[in-house]
Amino acid sequence: MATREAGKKMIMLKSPDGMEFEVEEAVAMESQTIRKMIEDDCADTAILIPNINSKILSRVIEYCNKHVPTTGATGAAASDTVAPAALAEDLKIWDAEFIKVNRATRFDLIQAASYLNIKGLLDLTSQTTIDTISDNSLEEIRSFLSTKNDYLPEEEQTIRRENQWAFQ
Amino acid sequence: MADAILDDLLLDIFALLADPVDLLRCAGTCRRWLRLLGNDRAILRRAALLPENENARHASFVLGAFYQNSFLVKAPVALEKTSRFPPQFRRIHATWRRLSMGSTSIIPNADGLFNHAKPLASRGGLLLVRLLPAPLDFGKLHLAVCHPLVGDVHVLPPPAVDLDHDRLGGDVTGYALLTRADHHGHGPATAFRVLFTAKTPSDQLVHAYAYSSASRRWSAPIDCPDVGGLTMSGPPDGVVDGRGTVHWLYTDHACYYTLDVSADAARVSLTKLPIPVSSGWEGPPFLCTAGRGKALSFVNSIDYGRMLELWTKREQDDDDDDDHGEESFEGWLRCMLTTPQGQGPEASEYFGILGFAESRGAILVHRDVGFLCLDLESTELEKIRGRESSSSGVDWYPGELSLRSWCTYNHVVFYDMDWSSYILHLLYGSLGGTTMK
Repeated sequence: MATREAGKKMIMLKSPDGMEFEVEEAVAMESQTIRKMIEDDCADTAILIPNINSKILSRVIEYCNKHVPTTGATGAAASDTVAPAALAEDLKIWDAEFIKVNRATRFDLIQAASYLNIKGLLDLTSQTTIDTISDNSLEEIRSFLSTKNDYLPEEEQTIRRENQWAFQ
Repeated sequence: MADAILDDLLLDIFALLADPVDLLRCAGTCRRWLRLLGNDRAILRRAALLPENENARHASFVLGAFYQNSFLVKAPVALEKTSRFPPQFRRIHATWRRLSMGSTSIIPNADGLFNHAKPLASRGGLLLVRLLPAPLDFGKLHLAVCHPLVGDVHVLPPPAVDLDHDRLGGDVTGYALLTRADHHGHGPATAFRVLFTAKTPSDQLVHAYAYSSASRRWSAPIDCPDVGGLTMSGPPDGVVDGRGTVHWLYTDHACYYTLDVSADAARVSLTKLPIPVSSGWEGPPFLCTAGRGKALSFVNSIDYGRMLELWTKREQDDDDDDDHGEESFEGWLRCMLTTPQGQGPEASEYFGILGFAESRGAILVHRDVGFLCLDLESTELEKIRGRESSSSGVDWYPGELSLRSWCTYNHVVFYDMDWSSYILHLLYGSLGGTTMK
């Protein structure tokens, strides 16, 4: 931990609604998109993250902050004190708690994870959505997604056209 | 809110869904999702919702099989309305994760309607089941037709037939489910008919009964030709040919016969098949349909089951005699489905016929431990397997699927359909009954 404290470099992340977050470079680099910006030297001291509001960005940073010690070069330091298996278990519990958000927030997180290219977060948010789809009836899936059943008899011709491959 | 997720992101999520049943439900959720999936053949192909062969004729799929392993013997009073022992569903393409979860039911059964129900037949995505409502009365035949994925159910009024009050099933000899495409009838696209034959306890004669979902009525029973000296030799769910006639296989231990009943149960006949009963242990022929016209056919095992041949009934207007590799025999055409095997360890492998995947025009067979789909037209053999099992190189087929003992309670009903019928059921939803909750 000491090595990280000593050698850490800070990066400023700005959301479009004007909030600024100062994070360690290692935390920001959990995002492959930001990592590329930093490595290509096109990042100033502050990076504007478009399309992601401060509420979602702060949650994304929270996720990266939690996940940074187990990956990358600093992982070794953490595993000196805690067994890796226990650490992974702890992260799993933390993730499960983290993803307990409402549906709108989860969809925002999926988009943010996709844009920032944070694989762990994308897997977590996608898997949670999949678990909702699995083993639920059509009605339950529709109600969960607030989607209406738009399969209407009067639309038969249109639907046949749209899905020509299925009607050959 | 679902719109908030971008299309490619949705596809990334769909790609994580390895299970075809889950993907089908996604396609059924809304048109946007179906459009997305329809344009991504790779996802559909990997989930076995499209044949691996690019040139395959049918956009169809085999999902698994329904079976019931609980047997309700006595239930004198009404039971609570919770889900208990609905028909189980074994997913053919189950991943290891799914496998470890064991069998599940994919029939929505919150109100307990399908408790202890026995799956009887399935066609075009519809499933015919025998319901066992409490208080239990084996003398009455309670049937329902449902679409497990779309979630619709149609409960049939009990027909005017008195069955054996003491035991289940013995006197209902055969049954079949007909879709609108079979009987060219009127009514909505999801209209169906149910046909069954039953032995009357009093005179032991077999009668045929037909039900139409459009009229919600049973036809008057019609007498069947005397099958008293014959034994049913094939599955009780009959094969439906292109003219809407249902066929069941019988034998008198010298010859094979089909009992043929038209969709409206107005015409019945008994037809002799052109092959004698084998003295070996190849087993009876397996009835199916083949070709564009869905002509009645049967698959015959020869050489101790090491080879399979297909016999197809010639239609009257079918007069081209010079088909290569086909022999004509008493109004039937015969051709080989499998090539002769060479010497060596493979030569000892034999085919076991498990079922008929009508929507794909294929029979399901097992060979050693492999579970295969044998196309009746191209004679191609396609391996069916779970995505994860293929990477480990291990092939398997779920043990329940081999429960081919047709006379037992544990009759297995394979579930297959094509995309067009699934989409039509999504469109026209209601089977004319209530919606399952």
